[in-house]
Amino acid sequence: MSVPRRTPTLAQQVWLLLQKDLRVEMRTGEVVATSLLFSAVLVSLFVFAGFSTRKAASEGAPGLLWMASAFVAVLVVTRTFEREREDGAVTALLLIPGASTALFFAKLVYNWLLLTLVQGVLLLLVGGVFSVDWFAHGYAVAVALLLGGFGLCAVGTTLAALLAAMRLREVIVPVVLFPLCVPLLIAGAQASVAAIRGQNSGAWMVTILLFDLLFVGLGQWLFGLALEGAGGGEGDSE
Amino acid sequence: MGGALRSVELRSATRFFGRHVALYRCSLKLVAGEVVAVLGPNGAGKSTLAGLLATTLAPSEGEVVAAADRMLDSSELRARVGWVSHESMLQRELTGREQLALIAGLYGVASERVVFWLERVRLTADADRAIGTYSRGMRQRLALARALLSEPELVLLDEPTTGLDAASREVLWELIGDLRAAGRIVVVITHDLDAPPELFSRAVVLSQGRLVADRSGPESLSALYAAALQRVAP
Repeated sequence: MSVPRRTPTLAQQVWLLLQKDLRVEMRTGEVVATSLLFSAVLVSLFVFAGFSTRKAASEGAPGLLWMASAFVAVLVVTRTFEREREDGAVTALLLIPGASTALFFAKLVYNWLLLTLVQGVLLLLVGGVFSVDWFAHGYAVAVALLLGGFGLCAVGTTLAALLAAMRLREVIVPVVLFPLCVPLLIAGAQASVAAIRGQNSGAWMVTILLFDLLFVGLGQWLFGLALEGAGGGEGDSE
Repeated sequence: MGGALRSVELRSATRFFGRHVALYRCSLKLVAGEVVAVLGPNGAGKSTLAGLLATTLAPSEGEVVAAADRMLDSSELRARVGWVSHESMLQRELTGREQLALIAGLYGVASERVVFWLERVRLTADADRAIGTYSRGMRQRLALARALLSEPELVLLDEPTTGLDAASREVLWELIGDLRAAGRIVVVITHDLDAPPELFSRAVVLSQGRLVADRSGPESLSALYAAALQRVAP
């Protein structure tokens, strides 16, 4: 009855879990559709609020971009474990050796990919509407968004795991996420402003990178502990 | 990996949820080849017992000890567990085949086993439908396949007959017989007192978090259950 096994590597497990989430998102389109709609609404509001001059629009656009990124990150990360928690699927995953670490990286990359997709659309949308040429001074804004989005997702994915068992998690995630990400958002906005002004944004980029490294390390450590409580502790006393 | 699992033992294990005592000083040793029926009314602590054995719950007091060629730590024991809980532990957006392929891939089990298990639980024809469209019984059969796919040495079946028709129950009893023959430890938490008694090498009864009966042999489950609860009745 014994069946030969080939223990998968961490990368293989991450890929399997990531594929699964992407497949489900492609079928349902829940997260991408709501995030894109939200982004469009936010940009529209700024259009109607109106910037008085083109210069004001150009200088305000990075702020809009980062504000939208932060809100979209919340939309993305709060759904992180909803599907797995529905019928206790996360518990089955936690029984598998190594799957807890793989699940963290898969969810992190998944959230990051979705956020990056929406950020890409936002970049085009904000650039088009406010006539901002993001790429006139190189790709610094795009790089800042990529790195900053990764940091937002690292914090958000960990928080989603920590708060997965809580009833009001949709409310609590943003309440905790935003204060934690203030340094990241400031650095991101500053890097973007510096880039469109043609200034050096290197120091801000390093700040974002350090933030990313810190929260990926912390997240990986906290994630397994958090999920043990959320998925394993069923809390009933049958 | 430490050799085949020989025994799992709860040593005076107590589990609290807040102030509520779900399981109190429960001592139980399960050895390879045993099929143990766990009986008890709602709230008796049966699922808590399963959680402790699966190591997804830690005992508040006492310990869970697993032995193979050497003592195993909780992560080594967990890797040998297959668990059908009262939740299906399936992701409803996936198809049955995708769900099993995912679990097989994560364990490193060959993909041919997916085909084998779909056939075994009679879901081949529905394998490419989303789990969300399955009936309760179909989900339960898929949950069984999901739990047994990795050839676990400690199999925890919490209400495995829920939603199963007579033919599917026969498949389940057959599977349990195979697991017993293969020397696995099988724990069947059930309210189904009509389950064939010869299937179980042992039966235990929990009541209000306490182990109140522990019998070996083919005694009828309903007789054991009635006698045990009568003894503890106030």
